[in-house]
Amino acid sequence: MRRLAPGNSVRGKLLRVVLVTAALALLISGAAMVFYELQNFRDTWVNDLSAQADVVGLAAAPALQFEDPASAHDYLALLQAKPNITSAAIYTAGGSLFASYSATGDAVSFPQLPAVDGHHVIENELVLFRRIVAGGEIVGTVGLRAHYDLYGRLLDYIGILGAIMALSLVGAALISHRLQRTITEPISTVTSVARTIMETRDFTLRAPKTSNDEIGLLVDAFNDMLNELGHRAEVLEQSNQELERQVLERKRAEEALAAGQRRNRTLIDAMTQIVWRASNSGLFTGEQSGWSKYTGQSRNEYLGLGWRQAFAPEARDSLDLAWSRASTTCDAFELEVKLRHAPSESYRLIRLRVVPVLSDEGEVLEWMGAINDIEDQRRIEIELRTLNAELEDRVAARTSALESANKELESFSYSVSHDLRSPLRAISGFSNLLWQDHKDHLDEEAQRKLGIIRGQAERMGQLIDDLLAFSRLGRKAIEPTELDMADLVQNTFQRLHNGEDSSVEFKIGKLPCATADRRLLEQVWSNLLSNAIKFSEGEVKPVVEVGGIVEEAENIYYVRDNGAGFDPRYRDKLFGVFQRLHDESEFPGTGVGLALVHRIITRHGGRIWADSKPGDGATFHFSLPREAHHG
Amino acid sequence: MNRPAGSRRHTGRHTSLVIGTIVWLAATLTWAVPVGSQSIDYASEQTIKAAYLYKFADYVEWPPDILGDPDVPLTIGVIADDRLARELTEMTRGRVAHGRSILVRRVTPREPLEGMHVLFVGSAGTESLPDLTAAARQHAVLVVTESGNALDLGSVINFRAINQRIRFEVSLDSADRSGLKLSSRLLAVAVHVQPRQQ
Repeated sequence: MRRLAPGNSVRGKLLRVVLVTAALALLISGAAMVFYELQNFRDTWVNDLSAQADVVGLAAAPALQFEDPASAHDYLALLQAKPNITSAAIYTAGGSLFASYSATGDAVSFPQLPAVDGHHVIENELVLFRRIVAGGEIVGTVGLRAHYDLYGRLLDYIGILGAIMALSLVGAALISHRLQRTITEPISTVTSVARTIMETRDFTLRAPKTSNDEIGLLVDAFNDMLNELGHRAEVLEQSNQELERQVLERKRAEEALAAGQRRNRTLIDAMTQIVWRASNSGLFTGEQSGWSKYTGQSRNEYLGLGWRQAFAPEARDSLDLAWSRASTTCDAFELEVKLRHAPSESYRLIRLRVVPVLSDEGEVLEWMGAINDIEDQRRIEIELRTLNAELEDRVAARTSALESANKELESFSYSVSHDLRSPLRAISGFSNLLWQDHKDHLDEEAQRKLGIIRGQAERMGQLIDDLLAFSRLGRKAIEPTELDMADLVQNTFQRLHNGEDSSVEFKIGKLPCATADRRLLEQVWSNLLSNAIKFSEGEVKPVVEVGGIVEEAENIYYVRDNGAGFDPRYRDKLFGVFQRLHDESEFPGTGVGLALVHRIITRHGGRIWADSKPGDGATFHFSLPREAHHG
Repeated sequence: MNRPAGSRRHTGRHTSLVIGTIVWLAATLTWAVPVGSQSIDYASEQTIKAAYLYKFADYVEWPPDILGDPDVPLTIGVIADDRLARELTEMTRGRVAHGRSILVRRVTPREPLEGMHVLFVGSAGTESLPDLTAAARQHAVLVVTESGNALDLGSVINFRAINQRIRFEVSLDSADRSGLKLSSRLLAVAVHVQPRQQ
């Protein structure tokens, strides 16, 4: 905050101006007056003394002429009336002292001879000589000595002047103090308003106008200026805000840019790729640390076109060709060439990708290049390909071996089954004959044991039939036809009961048609339905339900019963050959049925699965592709 | 001698003042001697008288009809003293009195006084003084004499030797009767002024 020093205010300055001016004027006029007065004093005094001398001379002329010194002395004694005249003397025309006078009565120190006409100052005395003329003749000389206290006079004048100056200055100060108010008060008001404005930045303040003089004009101009200033400040404020906003935007943009640059740098650092830059004519210019690290070229080596030397000699032609083509088309290009790799001291295969940085006019500003070492990748690819081919060969060999082994196994199991049938038929036939012919000869125990043999033989035959069917399935081709599944299910269910009524409630839902081998699908339905009936017959009110769902690519069919169900933990074992989840005595079966079903469905390209909980029934699902499958 | 109250300040001047006084005293003494010898010497006495004679004219005012025209010379008549007349003639040659040239004439007591302004009557002509003064009064002539009771006989200015010096006495009455006005300055140096008779 500007504060004025007391001496710096307009008031103080005006006062100073007034006082200095007054003092100067007084001093000059006083000095002039003193000078004039002293001059005047001297002249007056000389004139006075001259006149005095003339009077004395005139009076004393007769005394001289008639040689009467006493008379002359009397005249001189009259000078007592002039106390300033200390002494006087009269000389005769001949120059001798005629009469003398001293105010104090002392001896007179006049010279024996008179000086020439005129006056001079000796110390503090004015000495004057005048010739006495009478009757046209010089009759004598009058000499006068008078106090001539010029310095005393001067001191008096200076004293008076000093007093006048002091009084005048005090008066001037008082008057100007009063008069200044008319000038300084409006100025002070303007100043204080200006100060308030500087402190508060309140441009609505105005200085009051109190006079119509220049200060009034100043106040008007000041107020106009405040108007303008207020307006400007407002505009400035607006533009400041605008600027701030722009700066903020710019800052955000810069931050984004910086972040982008940081990201780019980080990206380049993080990349395993080597990135480099070249001028529009393909010259390396700046620092290329990545390049240098990879190729081992020093800065001097790679600058300009030196970088070409890092490529394998045979690769340079294709590089030059690609580069010249890219230069004319301004397009990016890719090239797989061999580049010197310093750490391994060998040429390695790299993928060079070069992208032009284009100006707005589409001209190439510079080239950015990226190098990917693909040596390892390429080697691994080749190895992988070789490995794959080997694997395929091995799989094919293994598969054919497996197929032949399978076929051998199937033909073996078929022949075994087939061959087992003859001894079994013999056992069965003979035990039957034994039962028919010798039943009465056998005791009860023997009959019971024979019964077991017959039953087990029959069961053995069934098992062999199933196994034969199962193995036959692997060898027989599928003959798909359009099947009405509902009809098929109905017939199968009827057949299972031989037309007799059953205690089992049979519900048949909507069943989509399928394209499949009729005989095999009969087998599937037969097995699933007999299974369902078998496991639900023990229930109070057995229910078997069949249904189907049409899906996008397949049809799903299910058979649900409310029978014993099974433990879902053993779901995987359901469809294995000879896998049984229940005891033979509880639910009779060979353990081949579901395996057979699984095989048939699989061969048709479908799937089969089952859901159940013990005591809560079981649901068997299988799906068939809607398009016929030639497995 | 008395020392002035402030003379202590002027101790430097004190000795010079004493010396000055001695010189003055010596001068006074040396001046007194020739006056003394002069009074003895008759010839120089008459010379002084001659010198005074024409100087008187400057302190006398004649009636305008007598001495109006500046071209008229101041005429001094001398009776009964040829020697003085001669001296005066010598002395006044080329000189002026009363603003005009001086003419010295040797006259006899019988001569008419017309045109005369100053008339010196030597001691030898004292017996004819009453006639002369009567005639002089008619023509406003300044009568100067050198005898003891000349003033009573109508003389205006009468030389007297006092203390061996040539002084003069004046009769205002005679001056009045002659129509002459004497300057007070002249009266101031006169040794004796005979007042007007009432």
